[in-house]
Amino acid sequence: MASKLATRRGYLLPLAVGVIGIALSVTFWRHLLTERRQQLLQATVEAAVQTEEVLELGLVRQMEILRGLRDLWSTFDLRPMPEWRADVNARVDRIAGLESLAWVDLDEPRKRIAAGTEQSPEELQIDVEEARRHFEQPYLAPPAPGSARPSEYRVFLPVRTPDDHAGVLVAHLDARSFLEYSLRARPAYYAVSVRWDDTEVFSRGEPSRDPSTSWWEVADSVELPLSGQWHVTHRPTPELVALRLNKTPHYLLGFGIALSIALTLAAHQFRTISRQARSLTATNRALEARVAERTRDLQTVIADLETFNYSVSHDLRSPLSAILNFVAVLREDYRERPLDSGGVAMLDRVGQSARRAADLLEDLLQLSRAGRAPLSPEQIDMAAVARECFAQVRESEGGADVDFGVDTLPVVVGDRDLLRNVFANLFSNAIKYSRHRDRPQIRVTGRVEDDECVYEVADNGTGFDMQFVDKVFGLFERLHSQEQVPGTGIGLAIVVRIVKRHGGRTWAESSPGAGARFYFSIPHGEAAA
Amino acid sequence: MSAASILIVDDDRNEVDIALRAIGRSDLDVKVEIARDGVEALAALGLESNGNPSSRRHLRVVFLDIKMPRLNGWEVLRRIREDSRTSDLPVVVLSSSDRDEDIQRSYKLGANGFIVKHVDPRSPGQYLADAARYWVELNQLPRYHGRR
Repeated sequence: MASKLATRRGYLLPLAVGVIGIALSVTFWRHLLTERRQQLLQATVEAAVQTEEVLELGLVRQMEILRGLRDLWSTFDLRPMPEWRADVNARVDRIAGLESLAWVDLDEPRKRIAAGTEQSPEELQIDVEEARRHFEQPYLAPPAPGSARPSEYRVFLPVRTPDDHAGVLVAHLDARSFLEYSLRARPAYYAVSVRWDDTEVFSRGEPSRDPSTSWWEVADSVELPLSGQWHVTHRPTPELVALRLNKTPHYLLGFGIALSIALTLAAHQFRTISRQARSLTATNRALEARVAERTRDLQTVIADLETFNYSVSHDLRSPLSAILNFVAVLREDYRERPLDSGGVAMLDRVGQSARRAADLLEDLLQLSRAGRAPLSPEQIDMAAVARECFAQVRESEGGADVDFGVDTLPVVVGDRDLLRNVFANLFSNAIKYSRHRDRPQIRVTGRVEDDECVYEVADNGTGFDMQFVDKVFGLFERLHSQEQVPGTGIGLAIVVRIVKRHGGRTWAESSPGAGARFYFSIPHGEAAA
Repeated sequence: MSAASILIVDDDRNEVDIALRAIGRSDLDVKVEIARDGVEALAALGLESNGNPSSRRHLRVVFLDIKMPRLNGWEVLRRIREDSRTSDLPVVVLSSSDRDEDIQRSYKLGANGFIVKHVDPRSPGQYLADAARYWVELNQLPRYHGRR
């Protein structure tokens, strides 16, 4: 559960890295797009303003030149002179959009002078009546609707000499060529369209069809010198849009998203690796601890085994030494005389020693069995087992005069043979140490405590000093010499081992001369394996 | 001058009897005292907690078994060396063990010798009689020894 939670939390950091990265990328991308559009719009507005200035300047210049020519004509008293005409021709080239110039002498309407054109004055379509109408005021005549040349317009400039000679200067102008000339130096990045009223008189360049920019246009009006105005529209061309609004932000966005995903994966990978490293370290540490623990256990076992081997060889060597020694003595002392009571005593010693060696081996076998034999647990009537067992021990240990009593004992689950062995060793012990009493007593009692059954075997024998209580249960440990109390020093060690295999404890209480009380406990229910 | 004596501390009655026989058969003029475990040994030396050590100036050596009921030989040896009255009493450890750690431990606790019990079928227990002869007849103790 905890590890699952940790795993889920492990995804949070990479996820946060990814989301923040993508959010930043998108924000930057949108900012970049807006800014670039605004820049483009700004540039278009600036271009439109500049175009307006250029056109207004051109128109003013055009008008000034025309006025100049009119004034020049006035000084020549409206008389056409060849040199004047050449002069005019030279100037006409400098007037953008000028198609032709004609002077109409209102006093002599037939007398017309044309300049700036290959056509003769007669060929020029000049409406004298119209000119006469504009004798009072300068006038700009816009293109006639439905005309074959929709961009052609005319300017009428009246003139009157000091001697009251009247005429009108008629200039035929073409808006298209004027605009073409004026805008020739303007950058080609904008599609420019000029309308005169509702008629388009000029257009240059194709506007962008890009849906995101096609609606952009900067409209301006340019005042014409005398009357009317041009509507100038600027739109960015596809080239400009492609240049200014190229794919860079999109690439940056893609790059940002890719980077975020990469960072997410990297963070995830990093967390996975670091978690694996952590768990690996923990596993290693646990393994090392276990190895150390096992090594300690093994060392303990080895040390125990060494002690055991040493004790066995020591305890077995004593009776064997005795046998060898007494046999040697017998051979030496009775080589040439019959066996007397001293010899028989020595033979008894040999027999006793051999018996002790055999007992020792038997007890060792029992000890080994107590540790190794598989437990076969069953319900056991401990009182019955104790009675039955005592009958056997009484016979073998010679405890005919022992006053033996068994209380009601708690029933327990355990291995019948092994538990019988526990009683056998405790009884044997009790008989040996209370033999010298006038009325040896052995009492077996039992009670149920918290989670275990406790059994007590009490005698009224020698007892022991509690300072030696640890030695009482120790393997090969004895509190008395062989002559005082015979024994191998294994019996109580067997008791401890069997009780331990049942999951219980063994302990004892005593004081010298006041008898001993041996206790063992077995847990309720199933016997421990 | 009373006869020199030695103290044999061993819980194995057979071992003691063989030793006594070997010493008896030799011409060694020595009195042999026996203690059958560590507690008895301390009593014989007057080293029990409430004891009042008698004069032990005739005691030439203690042969001390290690593995005994109640108090083992090393514990006895430690008590002998701790008490100023017996601290320079010769003690020879007598053991069936020939483990190096047992030998080292014995000497560290202040043993003057270490004899491994063994069986010699031609003359049982002779080694002990020989060792006793060395300590009783050959070994010279400092003069103040025994004047405690």
